[in-house]
Amino acid sequence: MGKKKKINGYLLTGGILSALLTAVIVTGFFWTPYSTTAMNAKEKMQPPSLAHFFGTDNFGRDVFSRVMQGAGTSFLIAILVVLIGCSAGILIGSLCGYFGGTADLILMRICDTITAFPAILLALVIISIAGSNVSNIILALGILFIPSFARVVRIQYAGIRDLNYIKSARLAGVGTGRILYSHILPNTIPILVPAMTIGFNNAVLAEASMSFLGIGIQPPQASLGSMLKDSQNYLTSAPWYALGSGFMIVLMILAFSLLSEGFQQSNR
Amino acid sequence: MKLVLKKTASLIITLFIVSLLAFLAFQIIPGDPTTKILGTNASPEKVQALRAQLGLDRPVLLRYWDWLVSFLKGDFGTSYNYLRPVGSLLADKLPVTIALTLLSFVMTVVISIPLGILAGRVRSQAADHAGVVLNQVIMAVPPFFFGILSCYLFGIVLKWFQPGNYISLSDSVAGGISYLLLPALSLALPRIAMTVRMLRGSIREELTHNYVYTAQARGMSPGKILIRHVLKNAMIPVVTFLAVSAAEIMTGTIIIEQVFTIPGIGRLLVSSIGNRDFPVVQAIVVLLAAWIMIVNFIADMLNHWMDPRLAGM
Amino acid sequence: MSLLEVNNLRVHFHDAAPDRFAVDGVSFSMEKGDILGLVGESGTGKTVTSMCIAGLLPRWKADTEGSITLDGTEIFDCTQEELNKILGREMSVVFQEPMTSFNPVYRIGRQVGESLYVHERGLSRAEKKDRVLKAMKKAGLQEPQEVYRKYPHELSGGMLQRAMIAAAIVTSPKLLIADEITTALDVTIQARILDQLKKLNRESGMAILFISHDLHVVNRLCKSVIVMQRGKIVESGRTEDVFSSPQHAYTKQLVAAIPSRGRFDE
Repeated sequence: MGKKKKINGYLLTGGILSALLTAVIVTGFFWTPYSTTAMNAKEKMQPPSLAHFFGTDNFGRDVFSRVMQGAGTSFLIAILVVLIGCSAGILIGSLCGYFGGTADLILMRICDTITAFPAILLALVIISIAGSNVSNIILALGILFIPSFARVVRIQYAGIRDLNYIKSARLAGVGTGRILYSHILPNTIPILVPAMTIGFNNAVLAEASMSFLGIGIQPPQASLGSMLKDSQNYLTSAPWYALGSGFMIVLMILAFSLLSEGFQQSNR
Repeated sequence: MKLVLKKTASLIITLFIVSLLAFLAFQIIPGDPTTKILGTNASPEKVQALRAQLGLDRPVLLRYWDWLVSFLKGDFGTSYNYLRPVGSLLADKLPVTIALTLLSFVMTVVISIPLGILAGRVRSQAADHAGVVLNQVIMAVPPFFFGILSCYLFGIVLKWFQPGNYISLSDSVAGGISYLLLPALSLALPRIAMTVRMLRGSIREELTHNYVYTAQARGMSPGKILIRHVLKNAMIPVVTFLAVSAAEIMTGTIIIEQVFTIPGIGRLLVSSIGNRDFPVVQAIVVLLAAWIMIVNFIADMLNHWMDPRLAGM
Repeated sequence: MSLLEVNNLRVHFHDAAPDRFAVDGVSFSMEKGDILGLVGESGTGKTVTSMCIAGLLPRWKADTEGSITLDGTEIFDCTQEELNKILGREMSVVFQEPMTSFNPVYRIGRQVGESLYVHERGLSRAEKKDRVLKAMKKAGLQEPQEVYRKYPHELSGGMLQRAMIAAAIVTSPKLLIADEITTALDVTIQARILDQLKKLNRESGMAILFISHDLHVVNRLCKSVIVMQRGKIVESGRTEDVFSSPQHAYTKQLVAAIPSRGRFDE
């Protein structure tokens, strides 16, 4: 750290976009222009206007307000998923990378097998068995995201454990826990940050896909995926409904992948 | 040859383990499938009889073995919901999904490789940046959103086709395929973007290697160097990635079939999850898993064939 | 007319300081059948000079001045297509790292015969293979049939470097540029490769521009030598003369720095 990193175009655009999005989303937790649940028969299927940026849906609800709230739900779920995947991944990856041995071999083999399968497929299996509710989705996706984090962390630990400064720390009697998490962990940050942004994107996409399939967030709670599914029925009469919720997903993913691209380029 | 045998053995073992896990996963489901079929106030005798009929009264491992043997014979069990053999349920849905997957995969390969080569060769910084940004944007559009957009644009605005009005492959092959084109493209687009990005990086990395200078020093033109020397090396990681893509595309059909109301196994899977129709879910999951393992196996073999350095391993 | 004539060559890299020339006014010439050694510490402009001669220095990376003629053809005036006709046919280059100079995914035989593929399209498969095997033999590979079918990772560095030489001489070029080709190899293998080069020179009259920082090796192979320092030629002449009574301070230092205490033996 301390070394000043070059700010590049990707980092800048991604940063601005995600800051704006985060601001909109956080605002959505406390305040939305209209109620997200109140129906208004008179204002059904209104096209976008100054009063309703994204128009209104089949119940006369303001699409923009619902997109704000739905993005918030997706955002929270994605953050929790990444937190679960990342912290468990750090734990498993650090132990595997630092100690090696048979356990490392077996665990990494399992991770390889899990990552060979698309996350959505496994999540669908877990949800079909455990039942669909928000905490099951978070848990299922979180568990499925562990291997990808464990793998990148493991590679870092396996590389760093034999470096001289770690050896000398060991000789100086620094405890293993301290070596693992205050000496080596900071070194994994340049790799972890892009991994987290990619993970965040995958989580947003996975949650949206599942809600789209009707297996994720259940109505009346707004979620980008389920709104998009809903909107399909009104594609002829109210295309703005689909556009509004879809563009929000695209924007979220784009913002964070630009950010991740930026991180990767500035690490070079 | 020895390698093929070794890899095949490992493929079979992995398939075995995956099938066992898939079987066990569906044994820990809370709730009894008999309740699902007979309702909560059925008589105990009736429940007992149904349990025996479904084979639920025997030890788990024995049931796994029976299930595996009959699965290999093509008997995938009985659907709780339709009370029909799962095999016959799948028989008319599987071809649609396979056609969609293949179409989308072929699109991915045919479009992304020339574009990737082009992106790898581009010298102009501006063009390169534009390509990278365009790639990022395409990667950010989820297939189901692209599907909805194209339904709107081509179906409702331009009226080129009628969304939801699926044309069966058995009725008209040309009609069926043309209905599958947009869904296949929706699935392929993000994969194309990712493959282009990867091939671009891979080519640029290979171009820095010394063997490129060697070829230059022999008077070979840059175009020939790319085709004769760089491409094979650059394709090695891309082949593995394409295998992942094939798996992702097959899974992606689950969602895209919903968007375009295509009667494939994806729709069946989603409705079966909703109905908690586990034999159907299980059969589809095992088939998808087998597909993924086989695709990875093929990629592995291709890699060994392309990269002689792997032969010793 | 000399085979190779370099006149007042100056090279300036775009990312270097304005007054810092990688090669600064270098002139020399080579006749048919010459073996010329180009010595100096690393970073002194030897490789840049050779890259210029071979036309391999990318024009977007550096500006060049002066003239280089091979057999009367001005290299700096050549288009890429014209240059490609010369490279690998009139003039071949062998680089330092044999391991990475080969493409890992193709067999040795194909790569050794590549100059034939580029320059002599009319050859049949059998003729091509025959030429490749002969070149391998000339380069000192004992079992060319065997090596032909191998992949690069299956051969040792010494074998690969011989295969690289075989690839360079398969078209019987007039000039061979050998850039630090023995540096990455064991001493015993170095000796055998040097003998092979000498033999090649004797039998076919191929001129060799031999670049090295190792005076020992240069002394063993070259009839005449050029000593470079910071892009400039500081001394040149017959090898024995230069090394037995070095005139320039830098050459004296170089000679004195040799472990065998400045004594050279054939």
